[in-house]
Amino acid sequence: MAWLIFLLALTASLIALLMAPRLLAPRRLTRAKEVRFEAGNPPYGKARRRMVMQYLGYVYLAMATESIVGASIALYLIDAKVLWAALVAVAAAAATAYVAARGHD
Amino acid sequence: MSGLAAALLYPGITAIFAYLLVAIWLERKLAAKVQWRYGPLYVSRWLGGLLQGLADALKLIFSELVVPSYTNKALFTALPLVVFLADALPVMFIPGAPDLVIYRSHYGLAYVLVILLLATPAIVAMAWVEADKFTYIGALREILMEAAYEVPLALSLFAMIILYGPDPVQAVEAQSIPGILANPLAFFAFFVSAAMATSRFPFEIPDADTEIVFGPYTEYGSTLLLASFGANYVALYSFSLLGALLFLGGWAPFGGLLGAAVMLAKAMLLTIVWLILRAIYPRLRIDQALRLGWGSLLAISAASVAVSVVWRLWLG
Repeated sequence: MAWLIFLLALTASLIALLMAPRLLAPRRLTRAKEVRFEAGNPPYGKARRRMVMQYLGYVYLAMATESIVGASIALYLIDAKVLWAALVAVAAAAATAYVAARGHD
Repeated sequence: MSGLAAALLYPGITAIFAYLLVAIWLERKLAAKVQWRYGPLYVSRWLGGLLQGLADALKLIFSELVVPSYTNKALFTALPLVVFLADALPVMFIPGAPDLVIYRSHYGLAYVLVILLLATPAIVAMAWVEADKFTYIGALREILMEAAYEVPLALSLFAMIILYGPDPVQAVEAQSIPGILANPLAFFAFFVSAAMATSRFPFEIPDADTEIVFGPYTEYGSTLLLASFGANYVALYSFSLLGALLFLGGWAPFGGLLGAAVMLAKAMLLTIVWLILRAIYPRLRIDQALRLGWGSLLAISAASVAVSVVWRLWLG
């Protein structure tokens, strides 16, 4: 039950943290406070813009490699006898990612 | 009884909040020492300014909590708490001493790895909901940083799981020599990956305050800033305990209360090294961090797995 007490105590602490300023702090909302921060300027344009393609390869590489490494770790945890198969998969994934990342520069 | 002490005292709630106070103070004090300044001093001068963090927290509690009108108010308020929770959850599986563990699991190290990697999506969701130009750039940088460190971090922990098994308590008992000596490559990969995961210098890229205001935390004030930005230090606490457990021998050579103190001292030693990086390194560019993560760090972490296999073969 210690885990439940930990989770409840942590959640209660965070909710108390959230409620404290509502009870103790002043509330004087103005229009300027409610708009998004633009380093002192009035907001203009969209906040979310197009992402540059430059680094997308790394994200794709991470997604592909992580799934192989994660699956290998999970397989090893389920059955330690598959260590060699897991190692081959990890080595192949790491080597491919290393070479692919060099080509990405 | 020991489970209750673990949940409420150490390594649980009390230790998490105490660590927040001490780590932020230490970071400011260490950087000040290097730069020939005093650092925090005026609040509790007799403690070297230790309570400055508490004074800052009080100031934030008494400052107005503003929720921008254009955001989803429920998500805007809830996500900083989710980020804090996600960064604190690994502590559940990491023992502070032989019997001081909140939830003992045979697969504890695997759970810790998964939870540590899940904190980033929560930060990205938070930055997305804030819908600000700076938080958007911060979210992108956060995603790219995770792309750089997640595979090396997973491989370095895999190397230690091969050596000591996935049970965190047994990991200490299995260390006849500390993990840092048995597999220094895994320690190096873990150390750098953890620095990337917790935005330590030179990887303080997602919340680079001189470039993008405060990255994913820009729109937050009051206690929501405390929860969201404080979560970074809670993650550092999780990484410190994990590092002390796997690489510095945990509570060994003692047990009981003395063992708990030894484990905490080792975790603080690791923390100090991560914190002092702020005073040593300039910030890298995102492309440099990515190249490091997918270059030498990936090679070192893959080699660390090979080192563990050689140990296993040698020890039978």
